Amino acid sequence: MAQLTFPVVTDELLVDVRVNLHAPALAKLQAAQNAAPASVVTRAIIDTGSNASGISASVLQQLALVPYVQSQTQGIGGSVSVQLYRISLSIFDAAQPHLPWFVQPDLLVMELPPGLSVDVLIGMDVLLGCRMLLDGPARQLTLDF
Amino acid sequence: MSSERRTIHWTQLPEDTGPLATESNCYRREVGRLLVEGHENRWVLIKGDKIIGIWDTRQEAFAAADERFFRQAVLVKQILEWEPLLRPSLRWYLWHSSRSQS
Repeated sequence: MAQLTFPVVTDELLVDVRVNLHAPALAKLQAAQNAAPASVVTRAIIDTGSNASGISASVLQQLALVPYVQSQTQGIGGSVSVQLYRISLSIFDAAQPHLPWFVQPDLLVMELPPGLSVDVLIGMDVLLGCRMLLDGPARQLTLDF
Repeated sequence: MSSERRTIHWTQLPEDTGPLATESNCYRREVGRLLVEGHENRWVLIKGDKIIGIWDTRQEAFAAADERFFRQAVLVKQILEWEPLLRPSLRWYLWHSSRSQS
């Protein structure tokens, strides 16, 4: 089983990620010998209270993503429509990129609200694909996948 | 605390004003008929005001969307009587709440 370990340096669970178009779109661009947008390498926050992962408007714009799926959530005063976008998401160790990557090739994500300190939020939809161990005293987060 | 996933009935789907408003409102208009015709749990692809097709799996509907409308906004949606509600981050709720009150 592959493993990635990240230090817990603040009171948040942060990991390195690379975001791009969903894998079938990248394959289609490659087959047509068209240039794909550059991947976005950034930090992601892990939030087990969310069952939907998300990316910021900034990343949406950089990758020129278009919505594919419309879903519902509970907002103030009733249900609210939200748009979901398809991306590929890789969790990796930016300091040791030769280590295995935890890859989600075709993931649906919602747009994150503005004002967050990170561009990507990883929710339970991704975490259910791996085993996560938080060693609080050692300030260490480990993902097995 | 209940472990059941929260849902709303299709008749409670709100009108959409976002980037997929045309497609979403087409779905709202058609979903009752699609359910009666026995398409529940299948996946519909809508572009503009038109249903392009219905497939058994999300992968098939996504593949059709990529094939015909590559990198264009389309709606791929599972046809359901009871629509599951996403549970976004608390940060989203705080943002949505502040936006709704302003």
